[in-house]
Amino acid sequence: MIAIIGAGPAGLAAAMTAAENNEQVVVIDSAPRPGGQYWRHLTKVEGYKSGRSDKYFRAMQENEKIIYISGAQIWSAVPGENGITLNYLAAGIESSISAQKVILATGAHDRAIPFTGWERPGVMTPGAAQALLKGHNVIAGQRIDYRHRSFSLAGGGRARCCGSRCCRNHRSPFTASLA
Amino acid sequence: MSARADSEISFTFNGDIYEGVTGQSIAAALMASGVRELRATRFHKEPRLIFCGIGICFDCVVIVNGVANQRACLVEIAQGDQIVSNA
Repeated sequence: MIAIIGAGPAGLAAAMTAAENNEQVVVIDSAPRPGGQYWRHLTKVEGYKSGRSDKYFRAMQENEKIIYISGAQIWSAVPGENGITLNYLAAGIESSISAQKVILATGAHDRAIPFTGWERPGVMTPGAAQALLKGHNVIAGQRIDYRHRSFSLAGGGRARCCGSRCCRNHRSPFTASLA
Repeated sequence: MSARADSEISFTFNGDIYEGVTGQSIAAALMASGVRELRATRFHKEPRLIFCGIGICFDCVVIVNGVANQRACLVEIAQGDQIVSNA
């Protein structure tokens, strides 16, 4: 048994690759649906010509080699005779599962650099603005105030890249701070 | 994946009625309706909205149907939800 923590693109790719090589796989993820931060669209994922996300999502449901546990929070990982035991909480119930190998695909989040006023309503990371748009069809704001010098307000190249693309699609400047 | 944004949902926030669609987070549905304060800080009563937006920073916690400290950026709205600002 291989346990994969995270059901974003990396975790899903790992799960399918392992399953295709005849390994029993368990994928444990905190979100209610697979896709991670990247494939989090409220409506159908579009714009991915390869169709990778559809293939992965289908595998989570249909591949008999893959056990998919969603909405789970892992709170400890303990090495023992049966490999590594992962203790997790899902739907208010404590459970555990053991695996010989664990693959971490827990992703990343913005690294925010504090500045005066960063806690005020309307100031948010690019990841937040991106999640609002992709995941919830809500534009964070109409006016851009993008704070960065050598450090950006919030950091991942991935998040910034996706965010600017989302915003071009919506004809709205990327915003880190809404008016 | 089939579309999630298929039906309208109504819920209350601090007693007022709001609407959103299936799959939207509490924070997104409220922000779309113009809400700019999800809670006030305990001591100085300063307003807070979302910051990280993906469940990391816990700045957006609210009480959902009596359960405290729920992250508004993650929890999806459900029909008839009663949501109030964290005390």
